[in-house]
Amino acid sequence: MKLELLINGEEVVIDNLVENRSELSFVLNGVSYTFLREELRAPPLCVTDGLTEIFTGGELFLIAHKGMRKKSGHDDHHMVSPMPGKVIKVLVKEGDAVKKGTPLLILEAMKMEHTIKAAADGFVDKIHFDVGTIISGGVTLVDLRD
Amino acid sequence: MFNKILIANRGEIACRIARTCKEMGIPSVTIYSKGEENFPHRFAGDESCFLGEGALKETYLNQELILSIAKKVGADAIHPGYGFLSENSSFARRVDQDSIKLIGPSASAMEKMGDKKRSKELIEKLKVPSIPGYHGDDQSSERLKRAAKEIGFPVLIKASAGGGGKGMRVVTNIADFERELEGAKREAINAFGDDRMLIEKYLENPRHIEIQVMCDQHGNHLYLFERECSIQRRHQKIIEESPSTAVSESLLKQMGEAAIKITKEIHYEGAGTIEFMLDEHFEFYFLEMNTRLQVEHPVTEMITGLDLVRLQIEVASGKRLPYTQERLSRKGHAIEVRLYAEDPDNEFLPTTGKIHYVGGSEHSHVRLDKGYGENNEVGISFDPMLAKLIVWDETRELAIKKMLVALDQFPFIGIKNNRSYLKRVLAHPAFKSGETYTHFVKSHAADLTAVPAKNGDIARAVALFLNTPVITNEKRANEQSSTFETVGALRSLS
Repeated sequence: MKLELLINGEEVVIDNLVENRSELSFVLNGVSYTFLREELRAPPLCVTDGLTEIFTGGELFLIAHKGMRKKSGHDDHHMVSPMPGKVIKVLVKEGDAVKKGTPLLILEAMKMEHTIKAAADGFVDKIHFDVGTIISGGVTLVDLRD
Repeated sequence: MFNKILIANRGEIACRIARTCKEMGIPSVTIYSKGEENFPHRFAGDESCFLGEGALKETYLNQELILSIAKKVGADAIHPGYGFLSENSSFARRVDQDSIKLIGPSASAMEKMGDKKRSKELIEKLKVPSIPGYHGDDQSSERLKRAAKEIGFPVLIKASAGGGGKGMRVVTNIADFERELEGAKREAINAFGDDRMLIEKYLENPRHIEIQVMCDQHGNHLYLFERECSIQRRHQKIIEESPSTAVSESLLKQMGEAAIKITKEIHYEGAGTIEFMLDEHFEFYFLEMNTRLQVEHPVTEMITGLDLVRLQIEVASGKRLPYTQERLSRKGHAIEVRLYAEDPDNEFLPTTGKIHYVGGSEHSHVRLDKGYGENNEVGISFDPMLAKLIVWDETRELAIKKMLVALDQFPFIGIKNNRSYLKRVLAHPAFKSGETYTHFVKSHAADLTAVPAKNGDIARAVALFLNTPVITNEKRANEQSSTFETVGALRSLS
């Protein structure tokens, strides 16, 4: 059986998955693995919104079945807030021409400032928030168009 | 001794102070605001009082409210912790007028050292070396720019009332000066309500070395060795240790004596820290004095075996320090790391979320001072420090090893944090060899990025994931109250 997972945001394919009462085996990146269920000692882990956080080997792995969770993030034309915070300054207007790297707006969280810059050349299509708005992480702040 | 102590702070430091109060048999009272009903500090003391809702100035910075709580609960002393009102001289004065003892220095000592400009003038008078800079009254941007030119780039723009890296900028060329000045001023006015700025020479390869002091009301002034806090990001410390690899016994003596010269001059009382920059030629320069307990005080506690909060309380109650400088000794090596809710792979920006699992350790000389517990929500209103992890061992090498193990024992699952990043710093050859300068994080940035996980570790994570009982919708509904039940289920299976 083949299984597609998202591990820390990356797509990973699990091949030749065989599960039975006592063990499970699969192939990952061309390497075969077999684990005895009784050896899979419960590590600290927790599950929220279909996302499982597993702590093993000193590192944290965020795992979900593919399709259960979309990767969010910004592309060249949609500037996404990297953190929750407050919009403290808007530096451009809709319709303004911008170059890659032009500062668009300034966010503040815990009294520290972070400047959102244009990821590509283009025009400001839409600014989604006014000065003073509290925003959460991962929301689109500014749209650009060519 | 005091009858009851009000702890006018929150988070890990409120819990830390409450612990010593408990050990000394002194009842303590903590305070909490809306949204902190389930936070550890609410339950750390013997009583707790609700501050209500609103911005910090309505709650933790609300002098009137905090004084009225102190009177209501019958506290005869207030411990301000660090941050908030701890270095606020007008608060110190009001506490004094109400015949309550503030556990800390006098208002006048705070005023002499709290303002960076005034403290520099005093330091010059005492002939303690300090960094060349401009701290004049003329705050026009033309004057500040001229000062920067005279001092020579790179320069540091720094808020006069500042701390914690807020309102601070390094400027490498004159073209950026005005823009950076404007940004620093804006941060300063938001953080401190004061946008007066200092311009200073920016040292190229400095270390941050600080001296812990402790003084009583009878003119006894002690220095409790040094701490090195060179590993910083965004001008905020993330790793602190003692002893420093760069400070010899004779240099410690010089720096300690300079520190005591300052505390004697201002008739200082209680715990304080004199911060210095140390350059490559082992010349030290006064940076500032923090007239309060420091975040990294556990490092000093681990190497001396002293309880600094206990000493603070004792000297505030009028007791004499029970030691002389000659009798103080230290042993081994201590390291502290600050666990922050932040994303080191995304410019160290703060993260938010809910903590599902903290972790634990039964190893000797491993201490976690935490301000958040399981099921606590970490929001944007407060400093994003989750906890401090402190270890001690016989040598620096052993302490580093112990810290690397300990960091794996406290994963703080549920919120993105800097744990893994701290491990990368501690394991870096330059850190191991003691080449720790304040720009460490920047100069080794390329080596400190996330390392791809090993295939075998990913495979084990996948196996663990597949071995997790399937969660039904019904179960998920219950999860709202206990996100951690799957672990319990797994444990009962095995």
